[in-house]
Amino acid sequence: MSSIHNDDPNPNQEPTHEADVPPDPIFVIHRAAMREMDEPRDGAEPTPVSYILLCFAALMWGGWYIGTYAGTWSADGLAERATAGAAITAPAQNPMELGKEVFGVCVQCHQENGRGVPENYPPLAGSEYVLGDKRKLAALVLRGLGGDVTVAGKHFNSQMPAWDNRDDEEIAAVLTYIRNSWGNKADPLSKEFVAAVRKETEGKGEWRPASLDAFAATPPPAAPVAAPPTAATPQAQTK
Amino acid sequence: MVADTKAGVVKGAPSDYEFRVEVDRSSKQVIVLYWAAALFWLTVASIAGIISSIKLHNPGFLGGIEWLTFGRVRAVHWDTAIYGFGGVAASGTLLWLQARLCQVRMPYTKLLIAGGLVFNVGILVGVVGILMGQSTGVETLEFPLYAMPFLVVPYVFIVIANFTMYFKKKSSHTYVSQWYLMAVTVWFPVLVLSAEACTNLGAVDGVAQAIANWWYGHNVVGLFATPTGIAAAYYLIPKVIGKPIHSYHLSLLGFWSNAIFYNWAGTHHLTGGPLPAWTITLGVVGSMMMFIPVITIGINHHMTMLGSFHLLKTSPTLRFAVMGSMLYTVSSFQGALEALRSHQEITHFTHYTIGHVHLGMYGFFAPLMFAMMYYAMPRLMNREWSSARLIRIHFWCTLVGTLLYGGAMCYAGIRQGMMMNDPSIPFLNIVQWTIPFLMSRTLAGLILLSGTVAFLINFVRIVTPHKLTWATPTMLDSDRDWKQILEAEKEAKPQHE
Amino acid sequence: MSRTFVLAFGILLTILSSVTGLVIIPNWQFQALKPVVKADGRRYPEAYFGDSAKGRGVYISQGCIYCHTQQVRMKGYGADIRRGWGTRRSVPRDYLEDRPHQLGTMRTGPDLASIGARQPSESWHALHLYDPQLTSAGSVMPRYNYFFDEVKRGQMPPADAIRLPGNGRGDVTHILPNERGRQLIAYLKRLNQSFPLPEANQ
Repeated sequence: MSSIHNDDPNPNQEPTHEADVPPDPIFVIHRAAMREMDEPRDGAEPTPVSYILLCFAALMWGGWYIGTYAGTWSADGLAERATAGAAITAPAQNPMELGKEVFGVCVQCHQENGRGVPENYPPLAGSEYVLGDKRKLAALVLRGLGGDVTVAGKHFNSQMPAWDNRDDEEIAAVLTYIRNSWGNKADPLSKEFVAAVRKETEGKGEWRPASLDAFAATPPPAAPVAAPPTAATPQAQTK
Repeated sequence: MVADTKAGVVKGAPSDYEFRVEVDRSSKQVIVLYWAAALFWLTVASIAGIISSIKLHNPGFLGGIEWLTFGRVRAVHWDTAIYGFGGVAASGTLLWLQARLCQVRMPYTKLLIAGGLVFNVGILVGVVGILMGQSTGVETLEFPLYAMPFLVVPYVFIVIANFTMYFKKKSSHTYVSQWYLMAVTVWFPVLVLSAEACTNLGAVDGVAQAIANWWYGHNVVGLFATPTGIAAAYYLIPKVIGKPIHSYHLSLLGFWSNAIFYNWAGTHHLTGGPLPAWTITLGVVGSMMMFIPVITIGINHHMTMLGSFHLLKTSPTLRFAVMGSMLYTVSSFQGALEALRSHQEITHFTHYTIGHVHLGMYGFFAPLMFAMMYYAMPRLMNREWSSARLIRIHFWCTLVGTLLYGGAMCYAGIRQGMMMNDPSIPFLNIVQWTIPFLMSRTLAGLILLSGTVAFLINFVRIVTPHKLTWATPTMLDSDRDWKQILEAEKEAKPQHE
Repeated sequence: MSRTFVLAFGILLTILSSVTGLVIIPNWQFQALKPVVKADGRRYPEAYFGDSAKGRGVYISQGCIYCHTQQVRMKGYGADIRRGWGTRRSVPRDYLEDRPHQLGTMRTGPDLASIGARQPSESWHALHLYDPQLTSAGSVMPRYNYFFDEVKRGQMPPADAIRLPGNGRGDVTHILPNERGRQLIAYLKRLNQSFPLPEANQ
């Protein structure tokens, strides 16, 4: 089992053992174990005091963090600071921007380009539902719509969920957004207008095309929301 | 290993070589079996990883086949990587290191061999179970329950063998590597049993289960793979360069701070989730406190290496060991900072985490396991590595692949997270944006796999009996090569027969 | 021997402390959380039963968790709520019936905590699962065509078959979810965290 091939050009490497090898079979067989260094040992360099102080500083940071961000130490103490979670008031957003953000959910069916999915989900671009009566549109989005509808000359039969879990501002923004994107052009909706429709349609379940048309045909309750078209600005001031 | 040779020449035979020969002879079959199995699972894991990576930028790839769907191949990838490669390679490392450091013969070798075989069967059963759709659905504990006995029983053998060796040890001193190895054999069983009880055996529900899941998921890396890797580094670095480890006191500080803090870190995987704030806060602090052990261990390794860096040119063992130690520091720093709430707000739920895991597992743990194999295999088999070129390929593939993987995924993850936090960017645009990075991940995976294949060739060559051998170790700067061996063997044969 | 004792005892102590602190104590705290009884007498969260329970098994067996989370982060932390993934943050009480939990940690795809509220349409889920490109062009989600019976061109589609948009995919013009497909869709429709819980206001 001795070397039959030793053409290692590197002079730094082990010179052939042949000469120094004592005739010990264990030695011959375990050449690699022979040339090993001793088993590792521990050195005894001291740890610098400054380093120990740094470790203590880290520990103190840990203590501070636990003290500050541990919330109430209970199963429903979800906020990490007792003071947090009070009023998070976001600055008012441009309705078109907010609308685009909210539309992020609608893209599942109506797609980012507003063209829908052929035969399944109607387009919003050029849709008479989107560009037509605002009250009908808001009622549709708030309460959902099922059944056979015709949009832009094509038939669709699917189900639009009710979006009553979104707040008035979001609904107003997303409707404003879809009425003014992909070549659509129509006047904006205010959140007060949406709030009024929400109140008016309270308790009404999912629309069918016929019941939605019937709703649109009835005049809106007169008193509070009389001025839809340009109402956005003055009403926003009062609120 | 240059220094090795000096020891052999200058000092003559080291006084304690006889025990090594004894120890290596007694442990040979067990260790070679474990490491060969580990490399097999590493290859399986790499292939599964590459398949799932391709599926993410090319969803039609092997599409429409239920047992090869992304969610299953992805689970197989991680489970074979952590249990198949990690578990088996680490167990081999643990047994060999413990036998050597205790200076005792490997006990219960037949039991350990049988156990090793059963363990591998267990992983195979688990993998088939996942591919058939019987995953438990708990991340990192996906193996169906019926695979668990195959995994638990053999591990009990390993634990028993480890303790037997420890209590029979010759020296009264316990070296730092041994602390970590002892710790692994206590931590891992407690971890697995508690986590299985809480999740798959249903002791707790809902969110409490999520906490138990991630307490385990983080600790299986932190209290199993990491200590084994550190133990290997603590053994190999001083062993190869022939100097004592820098400071016993730092070893002590590093070990105990690691032991105390690491196992609290897991809940940072659920930051922002439906958890009581205090559980996440403890996880964040546990992670941040990891700076203490990581810096301590880093200093200890670095100061030991100081003055010996030139040996990286020649010694394969040292090069892999130092790569592992350095990336341990890097990935641990990254991991600690990643736990902070402000950091998690961006990088949680993104590819950043995946990049971090690979930097840790393939940049730190795997190279140290490779270093162990490069060091121990010539001693166990009494043959040298047959090709220096293949070792070089293995090293550079491992390094470049890991850095490419970590770099691409971490960058992509940060940008992905920032875009996801900006609701004006449609979700699908973000998906599309990440695709070039997902492709570079596939490339990185292929590079890593090439390195593994190079290593496999060398490994098969050193394990299979052949007449050719060298008197000197195979160093990185030698020109030993595959072709040479074939030619030499051709020439050699007629002379011998 | 005393050093060995310190080592062994210390090692055991570290792990037992974190089991206690991070597993046992939180679980003990969670025992105080009870389902809410809604105005209509039903509980929230409701146990999974029938198709939705089986669909949960399908969700798990497909490994959906590796790309989809089921947890909404609080307002102001990330953009989960602004992306419409939920109307409030998720709280521990939402998960009382979840075993195993499917919170997830990766969002290669969007969060699904309230996918049932965001997308209640069965036909949408069917089209999306059959081929994600039909509803979400550019998605990297795999096809789950094995959850559907396909109706080829020229065959008579059953009444409840779902028509594929455009000219269909290859030969296929209509699809019909098979048993597992129906179960998975039932589960997805059931995912809904809209019900307001007081602790979610934090």
